[in-house]
Amino acid sequence: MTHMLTATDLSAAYSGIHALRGVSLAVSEGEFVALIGPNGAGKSTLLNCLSGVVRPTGGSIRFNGEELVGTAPWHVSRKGLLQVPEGRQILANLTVRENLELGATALSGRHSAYTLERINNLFPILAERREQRAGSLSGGQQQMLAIGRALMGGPRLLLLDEPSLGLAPVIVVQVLAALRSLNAEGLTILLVEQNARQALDSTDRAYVIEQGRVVHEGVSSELAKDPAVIAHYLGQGKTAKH
Amino acid sequence: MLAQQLLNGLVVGGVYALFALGFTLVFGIHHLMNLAHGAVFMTGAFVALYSVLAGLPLWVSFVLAVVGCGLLSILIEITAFSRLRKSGEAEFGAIISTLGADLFIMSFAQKISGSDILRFPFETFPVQIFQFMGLRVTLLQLFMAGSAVVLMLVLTCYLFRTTLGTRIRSVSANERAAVLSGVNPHVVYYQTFFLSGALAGASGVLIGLAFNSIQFTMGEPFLLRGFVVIVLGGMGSIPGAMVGGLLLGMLQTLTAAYLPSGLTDAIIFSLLFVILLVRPYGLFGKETAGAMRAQR
Repeated sequence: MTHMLTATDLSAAYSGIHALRGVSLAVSEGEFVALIGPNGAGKSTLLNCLSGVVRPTGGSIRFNGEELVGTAPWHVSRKGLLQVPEGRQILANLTVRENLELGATALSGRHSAYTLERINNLFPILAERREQRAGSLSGGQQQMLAIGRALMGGPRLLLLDEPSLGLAPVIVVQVLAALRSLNAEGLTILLVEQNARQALDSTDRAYVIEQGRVVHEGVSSELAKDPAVIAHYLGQGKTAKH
Repeated sequence: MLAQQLLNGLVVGGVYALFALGFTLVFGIHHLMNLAHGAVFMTGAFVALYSVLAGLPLWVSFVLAVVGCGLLSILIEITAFSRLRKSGEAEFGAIISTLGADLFIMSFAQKISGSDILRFPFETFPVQIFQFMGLRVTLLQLFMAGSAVVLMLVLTCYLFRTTLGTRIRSVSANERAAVLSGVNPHVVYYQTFFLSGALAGASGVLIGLAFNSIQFTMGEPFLLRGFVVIVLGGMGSIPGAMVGGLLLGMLQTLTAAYLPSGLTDAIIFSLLFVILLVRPYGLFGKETAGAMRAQR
């Protein structure tokens, strides 16, 4: 099977600290893959390498057969590898509509399956609050806007960095449900989460990363039963501690 | 008499506003100060003057000056800003590097003009005077006010009504988020620097025509006044620059008309001092200084 995204032996360093030490992972078209692990394991660094924000010190990233290492982040986005960054990073002083319009920059002439209408159906609140400042939205609504903005850019692969961060549990459930329905309609997703239990419940496959290395990988439902994973990341059947 | 002075002040103030807008645009979007902005303004007057002397019509010279200053400003971005930005030392480094650019451009102009005060040939701009409800308005004043209004409208529409403007504002607010959405920030830098330089160039031509005294040092007092305007209006605030420019123009004309001539600058800077005491962020500024606001 050919993969949509393949990262091979990826390493990265921040001011001398090795954030990634030879990570390899692959995502196939239509998959919903989770990347879990403790704080500081290198999950965000990995996503930022994929997006071109951080330049890896070694290894290769291939997206639909094309090498991405060294590509500017805006070009990576325009190829349809789109990231919903940690902390949402919506533009608070711009309106909801302007935030969504900005997202469409990444299309740069490509065709997108995600029209404004489809995004409004997925998150009706965005249509209601069209002309309001994005900063006036609640945290959950801002997360929906951040996802909507990435969808406007016509993603072929959507990366999400901790979408549940700082959200009420009931909102997290809604956001994950929206991601599952997007995946069911054909969107390939790579989800980074600290909330391991919920991430494993929602996804097909998962990678567990620790200290810059992949320590476990496999089918999500099986990892959720793996004693080693339970002991380290899932606690005694409870949600993993942040 | 007072009404006449207010009118004159309003016209000059409109041009100050144009100049300050270009200055505040770069500060508001990139959080960096371009101290070569006064030299760009002077270049505008020079380009227009030499084009007119070369026999080109005034409107062609005006367009040449505006476009030329936009390009000069992009050159300043490439030489004095972009490399510093990569090193992460832009905030203070740019003060030095743009001061260098300022000196470079001024020396160049000094070399060309031989330090002389240059003047547009008589009737470069047709001298025509209208009487209107007891007020005296020249065609040049109408042209200045008209240009200021049109350029400000074009700028606000560009920033707030177009997709390109949304991209500029997004880079201003959160460059990383903009980049992840597919925005090439360098294109945004070039656009804002072009707009900023074009506004400086336009105000240089207008001031050159109005006072008809063009010299390589003419940008320096303007840079200082531009400073006053944006501190008065609030750093990085677009409406602040507009209102601040008009206020400064009127204040300057009134003090020059009614008070001993040496007092003008003393009064302007005292006023600035008082405003900073009462409103440290300026009339339109917010505590998050620098972040350009989407709301007008």
